[in-house]
Amino acid sequence: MVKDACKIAVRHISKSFGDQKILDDVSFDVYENEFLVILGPGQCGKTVLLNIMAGMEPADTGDVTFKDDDSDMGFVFQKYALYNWKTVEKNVELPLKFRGVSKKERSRTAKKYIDLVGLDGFAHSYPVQLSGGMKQRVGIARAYAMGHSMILMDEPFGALDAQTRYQMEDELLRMRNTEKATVVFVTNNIEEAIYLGDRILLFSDKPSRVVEEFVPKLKRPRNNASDDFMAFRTMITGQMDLAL
Amino acid sequence: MNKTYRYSLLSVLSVICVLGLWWAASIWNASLAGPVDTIERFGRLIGHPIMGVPLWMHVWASVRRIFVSFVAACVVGVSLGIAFGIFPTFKRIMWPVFSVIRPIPPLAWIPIVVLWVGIMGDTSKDIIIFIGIVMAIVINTQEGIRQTDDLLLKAGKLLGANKWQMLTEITLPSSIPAIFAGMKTGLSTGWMSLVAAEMIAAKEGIGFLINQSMKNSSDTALDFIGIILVALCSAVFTLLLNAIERKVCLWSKMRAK
Amino acid sequence: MAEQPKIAVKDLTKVFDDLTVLDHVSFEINKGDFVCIVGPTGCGKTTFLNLLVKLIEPTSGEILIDNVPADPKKHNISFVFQEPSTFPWLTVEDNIKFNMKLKKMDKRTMNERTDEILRMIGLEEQRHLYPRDLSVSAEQRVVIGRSFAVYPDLLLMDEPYAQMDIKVRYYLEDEVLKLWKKTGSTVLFITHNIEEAVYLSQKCMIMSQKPTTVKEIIENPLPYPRNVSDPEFIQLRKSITKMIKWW
Repeated sequence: MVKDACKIAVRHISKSFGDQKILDDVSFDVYENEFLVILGPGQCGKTVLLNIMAGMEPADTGDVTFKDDDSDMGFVFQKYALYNWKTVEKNVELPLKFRGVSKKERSRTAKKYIDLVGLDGFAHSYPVQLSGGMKQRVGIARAYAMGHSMILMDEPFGALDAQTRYQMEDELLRMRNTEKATVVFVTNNIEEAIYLGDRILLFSDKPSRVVEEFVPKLKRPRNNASDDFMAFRTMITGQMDLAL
Repeated sequence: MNKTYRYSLLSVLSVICVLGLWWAASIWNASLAGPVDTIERFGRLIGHPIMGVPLWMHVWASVRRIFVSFVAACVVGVSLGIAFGIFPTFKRIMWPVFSVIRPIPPLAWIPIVVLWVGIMGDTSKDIIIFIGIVMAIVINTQEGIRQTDDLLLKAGKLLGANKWQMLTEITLPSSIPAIFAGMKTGLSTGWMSLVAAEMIAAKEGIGFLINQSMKNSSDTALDFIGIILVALCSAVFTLLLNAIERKVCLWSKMRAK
Repeated sequence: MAEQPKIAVKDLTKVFDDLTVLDHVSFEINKGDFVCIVGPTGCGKTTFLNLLVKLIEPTSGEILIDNVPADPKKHNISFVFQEPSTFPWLTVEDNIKFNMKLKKMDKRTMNERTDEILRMIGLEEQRHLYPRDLSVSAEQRVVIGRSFAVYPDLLLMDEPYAQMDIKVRYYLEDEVLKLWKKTGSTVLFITHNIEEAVYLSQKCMIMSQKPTTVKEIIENPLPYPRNVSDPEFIQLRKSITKMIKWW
């Protein structure tokens, strides 16, 4: 794989809460425009790591540096984080409103991404009227609408049922075809990691560190029942910690 | 018959039961007015107003008082509540004072208020009613702000909101249900304070009417008229408030498609 | 004489106002079967569970357990839900004992069973801890242990592992199979995860969208323990996936 410029450099990040060490000397690179998956057992500190990368929480040691000092990023949450009193359209354009973008401009951008995630017709609906999958599509539209070159996704499909999950994974891959962005995607689901990732970083249980790096050399679109896929899955499953 | 029909019928029946009990009580105790007596008294009141002041003016006096006090209490109460909610230092300084003042019954302030603004005119009563309403609004508002979902605040920061935008776009909208709850609670305390304040010192108003019924101890019918009027007015206010809340919070009443 | 089915559902229909949720659902489950119910979100499986435990009444049709109308007071039914439902004021050990206490079992059997269950779910060392000291998966294990401790006739599990990460899920799936074999309970396991359904079930019941009917019942003859990368497993999984296509 051609090593593009390093978009994010994470160096020696450690974080403890009280006397419990969550992240232990975590270092890795994120390459420009790649789809990087951070895979690890539940509660191993992946969310804390994302928070640190987004500048929401300070690390105890180490730092995160960005290419061209551009640290603006979109974010997709597991629990959607939509504002119930705003319509889909108003939710998607909200970050643009915060930035001071004109009404006409942000309306146009919002419409573009709402259509892109397949929710045209729902622009004036409220989140409470939508299913889980649809809510997350709004979340994704909002993150992309921000127009930043990086998007962090924190187990965005974790709350969805298996079938909707497959649908959303395909949806996300479709977005990748038209929208260029560096994506850091966190999950605890091995199948999802292999299906989506250009590169997978396997994290251990707390205190968490990068255990292994995998590059699924599988052609897209990937088939989760093919022999290659299953072989990869078995290998990664063997190496992932059991966090009871 | 289906459930809704059944429940409506039962509600009507329960009202009839209450009326029946009232009537029975009035038979059992001769000096207590019953439903029929009250209606009669109502007719007489319309024809022969007490002290020349027609009934509708009494009702209007009370309603006007409550409305003015309510609006003032909303403005002050919501502002204070927001201040408590978003300025931790302010809260730390002022909250103890507020907590001490809050449980004092509004009526206990009457002597002091009268001393300050005099017993004449509406101001003294308005202030008492205001005190009654404002406490609930402050508490509920500040609670609503305090309970804003952390996830929504975190998302706001990540979406690039500054402090002012966080307040106006996230914290306040999410606190609206709590603010309305405070308004409704405050309103019921307000009615209590109003009736009591009018009973003590007023020349018109529903409380005044009730006071009159005490002066003439056999006029229990007038008392009941007062009670029913308060109940009706209070119900109208609450319905209006609910309608406004529905308009403002239409998102919360929606069901999934 | 043919064996009496453990659970017989006959023409079960439930209508809420004008919405038909369950539409003439019929099926039978034999004693000791492990059956998975797979269905789209909102297909009425919660309604079905509520009917089973008489929280609500059917519009028509019936549910029979041991040929008698289903009644949680009469029948020995245990539940596990998606959210761990441990009692926060009880220790792990007391939580496990809870269902048994309700059934008024004698002390010696209770203590023996508690030890056995704690061993099987691997929480012997944690018996005196409270749920708040445990991880989500450990809490769920306590609930599962508690449910199996009474050796229930019928165990209902409603997407119990949906919140767990994948490895914990595999572990808990093995655990429930272990407990099932030990107690001989009849298990109704609801899930959205087809792989999980194929891993666990002897019979897989596929439900349709609302108005819900039983679309198909697939027999799963694969021997335990199953292997998710086994070609036959994958084949079965593929065919069920194709049949489901509700998305």
